[in-house]
Formats: sequence, structure tokens, C-alpha cells
Amino acid sequence: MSNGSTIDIDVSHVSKRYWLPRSSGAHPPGWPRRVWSQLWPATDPFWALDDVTFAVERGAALGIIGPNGAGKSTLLKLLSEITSPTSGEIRLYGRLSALIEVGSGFHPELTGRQNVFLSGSILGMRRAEIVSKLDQIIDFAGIGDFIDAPVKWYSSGMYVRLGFAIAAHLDPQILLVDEAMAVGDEEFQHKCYDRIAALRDAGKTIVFISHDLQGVERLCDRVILMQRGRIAMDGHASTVVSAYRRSVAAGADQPDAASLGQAVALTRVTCHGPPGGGPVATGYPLTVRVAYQAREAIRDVVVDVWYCTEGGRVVQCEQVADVADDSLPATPGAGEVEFQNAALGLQPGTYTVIARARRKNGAVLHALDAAAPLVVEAGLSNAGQFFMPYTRQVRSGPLSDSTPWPQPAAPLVSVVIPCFNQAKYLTGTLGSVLTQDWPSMECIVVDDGSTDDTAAVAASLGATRVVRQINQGLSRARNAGLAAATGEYVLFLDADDELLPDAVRSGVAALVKHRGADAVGRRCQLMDGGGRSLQTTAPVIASADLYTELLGTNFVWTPGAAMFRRSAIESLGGFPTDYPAAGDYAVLLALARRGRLMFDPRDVVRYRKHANNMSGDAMLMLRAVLGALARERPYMSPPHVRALRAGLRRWRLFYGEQLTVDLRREWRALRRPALLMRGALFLVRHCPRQTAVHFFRKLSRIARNLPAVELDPPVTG
Amino acid sequence: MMLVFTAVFARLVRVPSEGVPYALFAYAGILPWAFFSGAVANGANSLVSHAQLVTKVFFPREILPLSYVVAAVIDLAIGAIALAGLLLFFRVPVTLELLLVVPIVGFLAVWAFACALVLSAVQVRVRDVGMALPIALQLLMFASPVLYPLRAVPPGSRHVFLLNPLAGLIDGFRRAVLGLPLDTTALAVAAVITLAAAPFAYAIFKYADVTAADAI
Repeated sequence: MSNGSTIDIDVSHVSKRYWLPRSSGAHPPGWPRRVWSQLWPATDPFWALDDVTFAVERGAALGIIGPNGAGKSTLLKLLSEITSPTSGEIRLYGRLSALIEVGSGFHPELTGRQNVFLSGSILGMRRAEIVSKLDQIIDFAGIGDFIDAPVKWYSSGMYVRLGFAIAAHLDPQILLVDEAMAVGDEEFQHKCYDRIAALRDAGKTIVFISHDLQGVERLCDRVILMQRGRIAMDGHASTVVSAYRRSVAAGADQPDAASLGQAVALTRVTCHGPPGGGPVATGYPLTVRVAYQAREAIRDVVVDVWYCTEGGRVVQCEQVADVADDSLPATPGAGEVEFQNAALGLQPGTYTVIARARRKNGAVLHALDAAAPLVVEAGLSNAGQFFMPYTRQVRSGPLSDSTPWPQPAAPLVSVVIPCFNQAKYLTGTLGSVLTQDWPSMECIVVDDGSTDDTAAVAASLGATRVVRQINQGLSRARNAGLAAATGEYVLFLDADDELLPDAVRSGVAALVKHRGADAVGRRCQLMDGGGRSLQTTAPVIASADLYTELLGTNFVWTPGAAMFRRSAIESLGGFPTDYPAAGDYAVLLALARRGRLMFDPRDVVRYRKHANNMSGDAMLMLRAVLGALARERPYMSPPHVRALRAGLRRWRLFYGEQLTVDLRREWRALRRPALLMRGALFLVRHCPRQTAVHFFRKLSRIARNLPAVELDPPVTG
Repeated sequence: MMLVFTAVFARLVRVPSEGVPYALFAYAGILPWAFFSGAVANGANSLVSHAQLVTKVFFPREILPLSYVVAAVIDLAIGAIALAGLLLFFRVPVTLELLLVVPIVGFLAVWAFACALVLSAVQVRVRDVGMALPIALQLLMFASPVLYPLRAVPPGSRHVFLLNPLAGLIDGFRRAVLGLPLDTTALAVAAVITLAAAPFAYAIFKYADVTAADAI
């Protein structure tokens, strides 16, 4: 090429001839000739490719499109050396992988895993290479436990998934792809496209043969349009693709049927504005009339119209009229099909309307290419890509919850503080809320049936609203606060924690910036019962997959460190009430699973560690955490299950230790034997390993006469 | 099968068996024959039966017939265990000549591979080969010294007979196994023909291979 970059594929004057049996029909006279013609049937040459020349530079992505039988697949077979050209030359520089059919070389009796090795080695991977990529391949295929089942039991989707996963992990310099992604669900097709795009970005040379024009346009820089074995067009992707779309719309590739012998010929296409003679304008009615001439009785003819820009891009396709079903005159003679549009969606400009008459099976009888210019004048809209018919409604007066418009400049943030007998901390807590540097806030205190003066203290300190209820537990208290909240964002602050000054501002900023997130988790600092700061070891987040991380450990230690979109948490149905102690964990898990959780590593809240922490009750906490994690079970993929196992181990270890210490204390006091008994049973059932570890540690301590060990601080409130 | 052959050829027709029990004699001939016929029959079919692969993936196509030859070697190794049992049962002394079995099987494999290459290339275009092959193999078995010794062939037609490399190879295999004196002429002729034919077979296969994917 002119810019001197390396050529990876060089195709020069390549032709490929096949011999087709001649279908003369009539048998030649005389038996000797008949036998002869049976033994050596007469054939005619068929040029599948006719003098094709092009070159592909290293790192380029070339798309090849064209109608069926245009020679695309032949070209691919030549490129992949499956067969060789009749004349001409093909030069390839670099290792080539061809993905002509995914799942090539699968053996039905072997398992998916074994077939990875079989197919991988057929496609040219070394064994060590396959071994090293096996996990990636299995992960990419995403067929779960089926990997160890024989592929004969696979659904066609799973078959293709595995096949593509293998091919996608080949490491070729040149990758040929032929319609390999036709099967597989939407999500998997995206994955495939992303993978091919990643290969392209990594500098691989890609030849992509497909009927999926959008995909071609997305992936390729350059596109070749093939027609009847020749290169009809070669150029920039969008130019070629739109030209091809136009030719398809016009049926240009089909033999022109305007001539004699066809059942139907279209004679005229006309566009009309609203009845009564208004101009053709955006948003107003448009009528398109297609006149036709039928030479014989019509049975299965369909008329369709296409709207194209001047550049040839189809902007609206196929308004179809089935002539027979519309019970139009089915007798020979002239007729007309009328397409009525209630509101013209096209913006002002010049367009072309193309009409086709075709058989129901698709064979084009006649096409009127560039038949009618359509000049659209400015009407109801003249900005944007197109016009959408709409109605509008204006509401005024006091706005209800369901009216999000108009919004204040600074979105309202609701801080919900559930409080059960913690009035003594409320001064600090409410103070930290009311001194936030955010103009638009409301503070809702939920008095969860306290026996102290919580409600009175809250009201005197300036809470916006105080909701009182009989004691129903933390989740119901938070949900009650949520019901009373009107802000766009909600922050659930525990009554004994204190916000840092920019907690609200930074939370709103994060959620405004990241529209895809419904909640942002942040960090907290620890303080003791008197409010003095304690040494804090921030949780480490190793990967970008917050869901996996969250399954391993709840890195958002207290709900006060998180901020939620109210709509999101409402659509989850609030906090689950079956495990109130881990309700926040369950909500974070549910959001992270949907990819709607983000993390912002900044300190926003001070978390109070004191004797009355709920997290001090190890049995309650562990039961709640196990319950929250159990809710996630049905949604998990294998890597998540691994993370969950690690998480369960950690939680059990942590609370098991704590419970052991608690029980030891109870054992010394021996005041509540029933509780002691229950705790011991719980420990044996849920933390067998800790019980055993503790037992042995105890034995060795007795043996060596050592003192008891101190524990780490608890991490969940 | 061996029992039937023993009954028919040893008892009824009284085929000479070089002084060893006929059952052992026949088995030592059937074993290399089964190797050859198995490799050729499957190998000749290999391209057509893997048409799916041939038309979709590029790889050295000779791998297909070769894989069946290798599979037949494994079958042969399993069959050799039974042969060893028979040798022990009939108390045949083990001689150093037994080692010759290895090169003889090597030549047999090359010859089988050559036949499989040519036949598979032809079968891509003429499917009838698949139909005719079993019958042809049946005839070839009787034209080779599988159930009778090479020495039983009349001296006048012996040189024609030796043009079939299987004659020298199967007879040589049996003689090496049973510790009989070797027929060096027959072995040498077979080796020369085999080595001469192999490049031709490969060339024919490669020539046909270029357009195999179109014709298959």
C-alpha cells in the first residue's frame, strides 16, 4: 500500500472455477451416447471468483459483504487454503486461523473439555498453549458445568459458544471469520464482537465475512462488496455498506424485471402531503402511492417501499403491502397501493422513495430505483435525527412523589437514621448531618419503638421528620424511613455513627457523574464509644468486579458509608426484613450483582465501636450474613461461587472466633445457660472448623499454660 | 476364525505349515494381514468420512489416513499379546530374529499408508471405491501368503507373486515370529517396492489434495 505499511494478505488476480453439470434435461439419442453422458456428464464452467485482487495491511479489519452466491465463502476457503485458486496467487504473511464454522472437529462423544483439546489442536494450537488457556476458554464459553458433559448433549447455542471460545483464544496474526456468530444469544454475540474488536485493536489482521451489515460496519475499517464473483466496490466501511443497502433495497442485484414477461411492473411512485393539499412536512401526514400494471392475475405479490437519504442510506425500510391480502384487484390491469403515514418522522431534506414488487418468497419482480424524490419541509420539528410523534402534558401545583419534574438545582438528599434507644448518640449524629455542606437535604429519624427519649431529642435537634413505630427491627425501620423520604438520593445512617462534612456532596457528585450506578460505597473511620478516633485498616478491593469482592467480604462496613438512588432501592423493595442485621449487605449484593454498585475509596463516616454494637452479637450477625449470601445463590456463576466460598470461610472464621470468646465469657459467668447452650450448638453447626481449631488451641494452651489471644475488631455494624 | 481356518486348511486341504501347529501358523499370518486391511479400509475412507472437517478447516490432510494407520498399529500391538500367549502355549523357542518384526511392521505400515493415501484421494472423486474395497481386500488376502506359506507357491509364478509386497512382508513377519529361516529375497523385493511406491503415493495424494475440498 502507498503508506508503506506491511501487507498481511495479498490476493492478486485470483479466479476460481467450478464445473457445474449441464442441465440440458433431454437425453441424447442412442444408448451408447446415453451411457457416455452418464459416465462423463457434460459440465459448464462456473466462475465463483473472477479476477479478484486486493491486499490487506497488517492490523486492518476488512469486511466482505455481498448477496448469497457472490463468492464470499469461496474467497474465504481460498484464503484459508482449504482449496486452491484456478488461477492467480494468494500470499499470506503470518499465522492464520480460519473460523469458517465454529465447533469444527468436535467429537460428539467427547466432553466439552476434551473437545477443547481436540478442536484446539486441529485449529493449530499446541497442547501447552491449550492447557494454559483452558480456564479462559471455559470462562469465555460460559456454559458452566456442561463443560464436562459430552457435546452431543449440548444445545446448539452451547455448541457454538464453546466453538467460538476456542477460536477466540487462538493467537493468529490473521483471523478469518465467516458468519460464525449467527447463533448464540444477544449477550454472547456482544461478547464475540468485543473479542474480535479486541483482537483488531491488538494489531491482528481480520477478514470478516458476514451478512450482518451493522456488525461489519462496527468492526471493519474497510469493506469489499462482492457481486457475482467480482469486487463490485472497495472502500470505507460505511460508504460500501450503505451502497449495498441501497442496492438491496432497490433490488438492483436482481435481474431487472421492468422488461416484458413479468407478472407485475411498477409504473409510478408519488408522495403526497396531508389531504387538503398541505406540504410534505415533518410531523404531518404523508401518503405514498405506488401504481402498478399487472399483466396476469396476481396471487402472491408483495409491494414494499423504502425511504432513503440522498446518500443512499435506508432510513426507513419496508412498509409492506400484501396485495392479495389487501384484496386489491387480482385481475390483470392497472392498480395502486397506498401507504398512509400518520406523522412523517423524517427531518427536512431531500429523500428518495424506492418501491419494489416481489414475490412472497423474496424474488424481486420489479423495482423502481430512485423512483420518487421526497422533499420534506420544516414542520413540527427540525432538530435531531428524526421526529417522534408525542403528546405533552403540563402539571402544576404541589408536586407529588411521582412527578420528578421540575427538579431543584441541587437534588434533594434524604438521610434516614433508624434509632433504637440510642438518644445519647443522636446529638453527634444529627449534628454531623445538619452541618453537611449540601444545600438540599432532609433528615428523617425513625424511632424504632425506643423506650428512651429518642423522638423528643431528634425533634429538638432539628430533624426534618420523625417517624415513630413500635419496635420492628432495623430493616423495617429503614424501610419506614425510605417511605417517608422524598429525596432523589438516600443515605442510611446508623444512629451511633457520624458523617464527615462532605459525605453527602461527594456521594451526589459520584452518582450524578456515573449514571450507570445506583449506589456508591465509601470507606469509614473507626471511633470509640467516646468519639475518639481509632486506628482503621481500610478494606482492600483487589478487582474491578465488585460483586465478587462483595461476596468475599462486605467492604462497605456500615450503610452510612453508602449512598443510594432512592428509585433503585425502592425497586428492590427496600431492605429485606428476614435478616435485619445484614439488610444493608443484602441490598449491596443485589445492586452489585446487577453491576449497579460503584466504589469510591474515600472516608465519609465515622463508625462507632462500643459495647452495644449489634455486630457484637456474633450469632445474630453470622446468621444474618449467611442469610444474605444465601439469597445470592441462584444468581451466581462459577467464579462467583468460588468467591462466595472464600467469603463464607472468612465470615465463619471471624464470627466463629468472636462467638467463641462470648461463649467463654458466658461459661465463666454461667448466668444464662440456655443462651450458652444455643450458642454452642450454633457454633458447632455453622463453624465446625472454628470449634475444632478452638478446641485444639485450648488443649495446647492448657498444655503450655498460655493466656488467651486477643481478637481483631469487628467490621460490620 | 482361526479354528475354522485350522479345520479347513490343515485338516481338509492339508496346507503345509512349515512344521508348526497350523493354528499358530495361521494366526501369525492373520495378525499382519488384519493390520494391513484395517489400516487401508479405514484410511481409504478417512477423507470422505471427515468431509465436514476437510471442507471447513485447513490442516495437513494426510493426518487423516495416517491416524488410521497408527490406530491399526495399536490394534496390532494388542493382537501381539495373544500371539505371545500362543507362542508360549506351543513352546516355540524365542530367537533373536524376533526383533526383525519391528522393521517388518514398519514396512507394512508404510505400504498400508501408501495404499490408504492413494485410495482416499481417489475415493474423494469416485465414491464407488468405498464399495469395491472390501471385495478387493478379500481377494488380496487370498493372493497373499496369509493362510499358506510363501514356499507353497510354484517356483514358476513366484516372481509375479513377489510383486505384491505383502507376500514378502507377511511371510517375513511369520518367519521372524516363529523363528524359521528368513526368505531374504522376498523381504528385499518387498522393501524396495514399498520404498519406491511411497513417494509416488504421497505425490498423488498431494496433487489430489489441492482440490479435494471442492470435489468431496
